[in-house]
Amino acid sequence: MKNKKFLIVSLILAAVCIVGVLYVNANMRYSMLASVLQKGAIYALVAVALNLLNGFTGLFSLGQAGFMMLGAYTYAILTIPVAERIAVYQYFDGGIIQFCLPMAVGLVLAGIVPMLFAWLIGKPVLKLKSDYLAIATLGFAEIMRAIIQWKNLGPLTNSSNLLKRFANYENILFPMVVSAVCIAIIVLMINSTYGRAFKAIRDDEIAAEAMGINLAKHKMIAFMTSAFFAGIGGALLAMFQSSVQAAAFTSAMTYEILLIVVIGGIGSVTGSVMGAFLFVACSEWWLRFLDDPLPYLGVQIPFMRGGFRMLVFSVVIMVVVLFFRKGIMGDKELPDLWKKRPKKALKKASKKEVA
Amino acid sequence: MHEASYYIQLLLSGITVGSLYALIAIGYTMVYGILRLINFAHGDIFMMAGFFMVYLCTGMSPLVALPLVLIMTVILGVLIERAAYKPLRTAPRMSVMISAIGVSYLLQNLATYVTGGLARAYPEIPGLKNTIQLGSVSVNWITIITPVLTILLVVVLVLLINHTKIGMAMRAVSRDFETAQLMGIKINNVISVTFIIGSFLAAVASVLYFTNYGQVSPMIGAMPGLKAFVAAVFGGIGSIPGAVIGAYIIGVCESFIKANETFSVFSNAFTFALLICVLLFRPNGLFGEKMTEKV
Amino acid sequence: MKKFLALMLALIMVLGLAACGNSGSKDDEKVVKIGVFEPTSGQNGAGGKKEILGIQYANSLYPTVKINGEEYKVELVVADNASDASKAPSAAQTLISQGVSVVLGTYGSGCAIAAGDIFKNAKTPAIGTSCTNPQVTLGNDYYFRISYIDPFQGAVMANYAYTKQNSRNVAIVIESGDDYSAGFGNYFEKEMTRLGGASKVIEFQKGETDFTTMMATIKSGNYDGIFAPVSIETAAMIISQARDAGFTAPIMAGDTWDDISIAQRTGDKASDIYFSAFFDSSDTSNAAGKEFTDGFLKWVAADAARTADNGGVTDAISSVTPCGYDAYIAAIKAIEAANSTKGEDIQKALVTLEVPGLVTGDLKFDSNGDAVKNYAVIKTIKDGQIVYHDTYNG
Repeated sequence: MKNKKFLIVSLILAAVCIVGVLYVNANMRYSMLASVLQKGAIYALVAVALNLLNGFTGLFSLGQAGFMMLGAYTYAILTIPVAERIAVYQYFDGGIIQFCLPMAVGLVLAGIVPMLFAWLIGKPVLKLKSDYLAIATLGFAEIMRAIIQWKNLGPLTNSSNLLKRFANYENILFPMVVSAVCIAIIVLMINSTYGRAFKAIRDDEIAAEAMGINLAKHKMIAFMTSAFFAGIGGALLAMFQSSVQAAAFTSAMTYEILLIVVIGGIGSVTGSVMGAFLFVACSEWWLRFLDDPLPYLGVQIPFMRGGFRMLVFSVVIMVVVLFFRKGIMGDKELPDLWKKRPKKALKKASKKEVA
Repeated sequence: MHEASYYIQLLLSGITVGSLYALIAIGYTMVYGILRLINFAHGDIFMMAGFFMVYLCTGMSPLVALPLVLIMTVILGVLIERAAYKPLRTAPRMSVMISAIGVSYLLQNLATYVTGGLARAYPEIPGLKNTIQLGSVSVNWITIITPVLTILLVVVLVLLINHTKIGMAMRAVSRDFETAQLMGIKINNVISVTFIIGSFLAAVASVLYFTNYGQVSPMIGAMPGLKAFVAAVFGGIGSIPGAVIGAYIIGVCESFIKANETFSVFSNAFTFALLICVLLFRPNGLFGEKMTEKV
Repeated sequence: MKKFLALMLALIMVLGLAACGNSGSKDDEKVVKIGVFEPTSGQNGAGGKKEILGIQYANSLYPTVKINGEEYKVELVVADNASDASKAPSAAQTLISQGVSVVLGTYGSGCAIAAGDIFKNAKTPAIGTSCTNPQVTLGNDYYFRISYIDPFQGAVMANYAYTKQNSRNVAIVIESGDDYSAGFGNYFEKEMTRLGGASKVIEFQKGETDFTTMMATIKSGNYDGIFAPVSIETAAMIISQARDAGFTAPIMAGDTWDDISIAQRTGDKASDIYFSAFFDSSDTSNAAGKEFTDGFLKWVAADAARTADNGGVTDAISSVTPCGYDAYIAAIKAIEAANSTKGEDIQKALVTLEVPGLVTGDLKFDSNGDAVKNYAVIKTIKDGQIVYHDTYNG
């Protein structure tokens, strides 16, 4: 009964969202709103993928930008029309790849290639403990970036020059739907036995192992899944920007995604999604007036000039990190908030007892 | 084929860079030794020290500004610890690390805001940039001073840690945080001293580094910071001589890789490849102490 | 509490998203928006600011356009692309979303190429100021360009190096991942090979500050010249570290180096520096240039902020400033010719646009959308000042 109600509500919500997005697509394809919707959806997917590792499995990985880069490059390299290759690979006589895959195939491969790389490096690296794992994955991302930028790989990756003219979407609903479907798959995974095993590993590795959970296997599954979806997110990002360059995928990008996860709440999927939209909207749109030195209501505000937006924004992030450590959602999901919680009642009762 | 003087030049350049990494790495290794925290903001403290110098020198001579820069950087380091790390002392390690990333983000954005995102020319300290000719190798004074000063500072630091009361307290805290606290060591003081030393050395490194390369920009701290951290891990985290040796190895290797035209792109990647290898084959670094996992 | 908070957040998000529609302007005044797509921070921030000055100066002289007999006020909308090809798409989207009719910029080809397809897809024409890589306009009907392009500039500099400096073995220093650097270096190398000289490309990574190793390699490799088409910030480091390493042969570059801050930062180390430029303010044969120089310098001196953006000087003009100026003039001429504020109409007008007597010469776009240019000056640094050295016509 309850499930049915929930299903109906979410279906209605989804329909409203789709209609809204279609409206935006038809009437303001190039507005800031459209831009935030697309980028927010992409960041939401990547953040949820990182959350799967950091929040649900307790593996502190900082390699997200590296996997996104692999995905973006796989997609871009494989879907540039043959006729355009000579212009894109201008210093490498058109490159060595002389075929062009359909968009959907490219997108799936954009997930599979980073997944394979995750498998390769996961084998040794996943044995490491918390912050060593973080720094090793960060290092891996930097190494991959250098390899892609290597001159001798130019015919394949176009070296450090940017890739463009690859297959792209027309309707802004596309990245949102892809990202929604991917997030739904991650949610299904989290709610399966795998997800419960991940959480057990997060809470106590040794206890989890004692309960018969294969640590190496489950960590690897989480790592590869996260890489797969980060790769798809990277491909979507490449499409959104209509050009892609390895130099963009720095550790700063990983930090941004990590901050989204923290703002949304470590261990909450809906939190990450909300965090992503908030983060993108604030940094690209709502706070933009702070960069504007124009007077407001006749008063020239002395601090407002280029860069002030990011400064305010980073102060807000520090406040969240220090004082609202649980982020927006903590480890709860949005629908949880409407559920009756017996816990609270219990707590109240126990307080009374103490008193 | 190149002459011998070429290789000497590369070696010298590597030693200079290595010395600077060493000074920064000490800050990382000491903080990590005590708090088990990768202080991602350390590279940005180094960058901020550079900007302190730039802005102070608009009003005074570089020699007067120099001690002020050191003091201001130390204050900045301690402030960051008090504001961003101390409230999280009981929180999970991941939270503290995220806080460190947040501070780094904040400092970079602050510097971008203040400078308008442009690099600033670093004030020249008289005499340091004069070039001298040693045989067929030309070096400037800074190249000579950097390693000498670094070694001197490291020796002083090691003496401080091994032969003073506060040094003993630091060793105790890094061995076992909770027991040290129970034994009556004032943990917060020890941590403050750690940050004072770390920031001081970062400030010294910044003066040498930016005098050598001439300009400061808001994002300049990130890479040297990460490399210094790798040096610290490579040498064995918590070990000061280890960090210094690690830094020199990384500096010299990087210099030779950069000189190779085919592989120069990998100068940064090499550092991380080294890191991953060390973590896999000798997780405690070259000089690190073996630690057992507590359940 | 938690429920309330979540509801509030959701509400804020919905409201915020809904508030997008009213980005419009006041109704009592007709306004046409021109986007300024330039770096004001990052490696080329100093250069971007100088181009913006040119645009603002032009705007102060011609603040309105006439469309269908009605007077429209021109409003400049500036977006900072941070000299970073990865941040350029987002900056371009900001401009598009604010409804600009035409875009001017940018300094640095990498950002122009990265954003090119966004302008094309949004059917908003862009007029490149000093982005010289041919890829900017190639295959993009919506990108036009005021300046000359790298095949020309590369040939000019290679000829100069070969015949005037007698360089036979040149080290080409380029920043990996930067389209300006790679493209320009490539055309220089081709022309050098054609002339019979040798050259070798040496790459460095973005954000590099330590060139001592590279300079040691160059010095040891018996090169008799360096050609370094790199950003303003890197330029200062390359010059001083090359001279520190005892490298004495000429250092040559392109249009980016026409920036006073390089001379200011390198001091007496800036000797034997030669670079091509679009414009020379001391050239008295150029009447429009003379008029521009006098007016612009007065305008810069009148305001401290403008002087600061011009590198703190009121007696020098970077050659990218007139590119910004000319781009603005071209834009308003195109808007008037199109009689419309719609991007598509302006694009059609630009294709056939002809403007004689601009500061950087007569303007007419070829089939790629590039201005037809065959004039370049070569400048050098003397006593901390950028001075005229040579002219190339052909």
